Amino acid sequence: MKKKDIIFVVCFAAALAIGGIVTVTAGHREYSDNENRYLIQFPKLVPEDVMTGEVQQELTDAFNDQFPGRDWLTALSTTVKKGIGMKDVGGVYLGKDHYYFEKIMNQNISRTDYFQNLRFVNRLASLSKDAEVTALLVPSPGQILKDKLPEHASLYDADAMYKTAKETLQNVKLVDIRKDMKEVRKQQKGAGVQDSSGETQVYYRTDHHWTQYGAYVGYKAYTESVGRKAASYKNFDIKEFSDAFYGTLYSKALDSDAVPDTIELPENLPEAEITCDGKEIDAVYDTAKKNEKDKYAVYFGGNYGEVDIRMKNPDNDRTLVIFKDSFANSMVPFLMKDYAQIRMIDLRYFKRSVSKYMEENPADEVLVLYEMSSFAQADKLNKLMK
Amino acid sequence: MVFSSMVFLCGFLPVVLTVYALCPVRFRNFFLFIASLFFYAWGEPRYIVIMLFSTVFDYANGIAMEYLDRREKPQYRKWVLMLSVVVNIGILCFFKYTDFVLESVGTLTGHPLPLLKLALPIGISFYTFQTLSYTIDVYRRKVEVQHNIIDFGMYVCLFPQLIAGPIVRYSDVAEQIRNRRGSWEERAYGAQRFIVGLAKKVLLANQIGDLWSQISVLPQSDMSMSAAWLGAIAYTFQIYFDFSGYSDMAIGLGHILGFRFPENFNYPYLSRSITEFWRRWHMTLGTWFREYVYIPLGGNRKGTIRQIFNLLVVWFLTGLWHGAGWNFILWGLYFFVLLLVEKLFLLREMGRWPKIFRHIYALFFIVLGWAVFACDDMSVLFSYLQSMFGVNVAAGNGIAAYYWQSYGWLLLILVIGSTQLPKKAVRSVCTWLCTVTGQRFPAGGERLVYVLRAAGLAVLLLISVALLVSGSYNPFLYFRF
Repeated sequence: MKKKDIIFVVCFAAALAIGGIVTVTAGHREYSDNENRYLIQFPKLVPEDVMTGEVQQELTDAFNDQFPGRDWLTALSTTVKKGIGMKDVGGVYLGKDHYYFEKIMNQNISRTDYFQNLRFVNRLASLSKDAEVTALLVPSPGQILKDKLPEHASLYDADAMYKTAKETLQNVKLVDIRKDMKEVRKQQKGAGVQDSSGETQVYYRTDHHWTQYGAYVGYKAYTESVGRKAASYKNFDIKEFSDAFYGTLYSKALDSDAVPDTIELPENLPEAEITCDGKEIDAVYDTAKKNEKDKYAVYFGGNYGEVDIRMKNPDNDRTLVIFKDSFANSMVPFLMKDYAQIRMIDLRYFKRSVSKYMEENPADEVLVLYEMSSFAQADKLNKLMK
Repeated sequence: MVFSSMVFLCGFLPVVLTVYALCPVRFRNFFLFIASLFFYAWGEPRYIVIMLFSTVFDYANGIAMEYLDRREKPQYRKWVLMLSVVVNIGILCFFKYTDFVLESVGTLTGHPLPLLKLALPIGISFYTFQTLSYTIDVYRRKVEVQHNIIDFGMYVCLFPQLIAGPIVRYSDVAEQIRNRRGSWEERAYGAQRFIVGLAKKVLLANQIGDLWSQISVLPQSDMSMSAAWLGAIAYTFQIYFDFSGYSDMAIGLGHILGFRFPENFNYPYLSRSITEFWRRWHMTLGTWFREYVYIPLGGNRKGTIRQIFNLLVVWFLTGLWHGAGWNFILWGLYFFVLLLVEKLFLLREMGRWPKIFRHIYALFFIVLGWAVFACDDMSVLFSYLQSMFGVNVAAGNGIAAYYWQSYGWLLLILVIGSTQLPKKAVRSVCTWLCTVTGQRFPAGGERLVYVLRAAGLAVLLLISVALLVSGSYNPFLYFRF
């Protein structure tokens, strides 16, 4: 009796101790590719911070983040949760056909903030009187792929939000591509990448962005809304860039059953000089991202306050300014051939005064391009007033 | 520091267990005292002063009462007791209730008063009740005066039960403070109990708590009767598995260190009346209020009217003890009314009901009670209760259907886990295995069962660690206690 009790208790303490020793000695991992975030490091011991409890909090967090086998354990945790029947993990719905969807419900969206942001767009329109101002609010993936959500899973009320946009926006044309997206995904033998049910993928399965084909739908709708004809998808000479893309939704759910996505890129683009926040880059695509976790950063290498694209041999002198989130990055390549200059402003990183900027750089067209939930939750749109 | 964190599990705990095992017996109390202070200071470096003050103060009160006895002036002992009660309760009230009183007065008079905005020292309600149990029992001459301040300090600050109970009365452990000889069997039991408690907290309570955290913030337009009940049931399970898990961990750690702490929960959701529920729920708190409030007030020995008054006081205080908010007071009074009705006639009446009806009756009021407990904003509480009774909301909606479906299996596990079924099942499987293998390999059966049980516990521990490391929802529910 006694012997096995000794063994049990010693093993218990030793297992915990080994976990702790490995964490403290080997725990210096800085970044988790899998989770797409920086891990918390062991802090330095500063007496003042000990008294406020700050060091202890950091130590507690670091101990968690630096624990050995973190990736394996997080996968195990998702497996367990799925095993007891949960249909969402880490704020992500586990959808059908290997789709994942951000679980954004009515309580996650403030209607007043959304309304306020729409009014900021109106304000932008009044600043740029000579320009044609358009708002393209890209539907959240779950709104288009409702049938891929788990049974009974619900999302925020998109109909009401588009209705508010329609009623609120003044001198701004609203482009609603929900119908287009729903039609396109049902194309059985269309261009683009097909998912396991044979439908055209307009959104990535493991990432919250639209696919290149989804972005094409956006490009087509916008181009037609300003009265031009859109080129066909094939015209852009689409090539596969990577078939091993695990996006942000994967990083949240960390589901070992996930199937990687394929990224395609349009290769037939006009030559252009591109500067990102004043720094020149050689190409639209940063192909080095192929070997990194966040492959969506292939467009311009990520997000910047201002991206200035000047075509080298334009056949017109049109200019376009886009206020945007990362959804625009994959749509801009399609637009390039139609303009002499395109500038993308990401208000999260843009430090200058918008009104002054618009005064100095008048444009023929202004496009506000956000994914709907990210537009509603964006907290930097008030910069449009400044 | 909380038990359900990696820094406790793989840092603090193995270090303390190792040093404790290697430490000569006469230094063990000193070591536990220091380790417990470190444990407390991890989250509350400043408030450790208050805990140390309580320790020294009540140690001195004990000595003072003994001194008065020696000088043959026992009539003054009650003044020492009064001082102890007033100062201890005073500190508790100052930190816990000042802002509540100021805010309530402000609301009543219409002139908002400035608030102190003090953070509540974690565990203050638990250790205050522990030190009070000492001075009161010394006054009653039920326990001997503790002369060693290290021993006394270790009792007050002992980390296993410091921040979430059970409330260990001094008389429960007076003997073990000086003299404890744990066996390996007991330590193994302690480790097992700890792992089970951790799993209850991390695997069950946290997961179902996540559901409550989502339903409780649903806007009115997304609410339905079905969702409201699901939310209340989710919280009912969360608080039980969280709280009893914490108690299991504390009791388990106690066993590893050689202490025997009193049990705190006895399958409360099996109760067939509210009276029974409170004999099975947070038993150490119930005992404390009975011993130190209800009985001193006269209990049931001074007539029915006086007994009702005594019950009212006890349940008002019980409610208030759980947090400085009107909902907690309401929650306490809610149970006062239920218990009174049961005492006056319902218990007798219910004797004739089929068991299942008594069960449904008890669970209905328990779940409803937890809804009151969980909503600490009175207007939120009001609309939540309305939703539960179908006022202004539909009977069901898609969101409720989704949650029932997504959490159905977990709920089934929780229902089973609230009964004695798992314990009995494990026991009968073990006996069965023992007899089956025992026929072929004498003595081998028992060993096999032991190994299998250890393996099962290892899996529970591993999954708990996985959920903790992955950063799943992991709240600490007792910061208002």
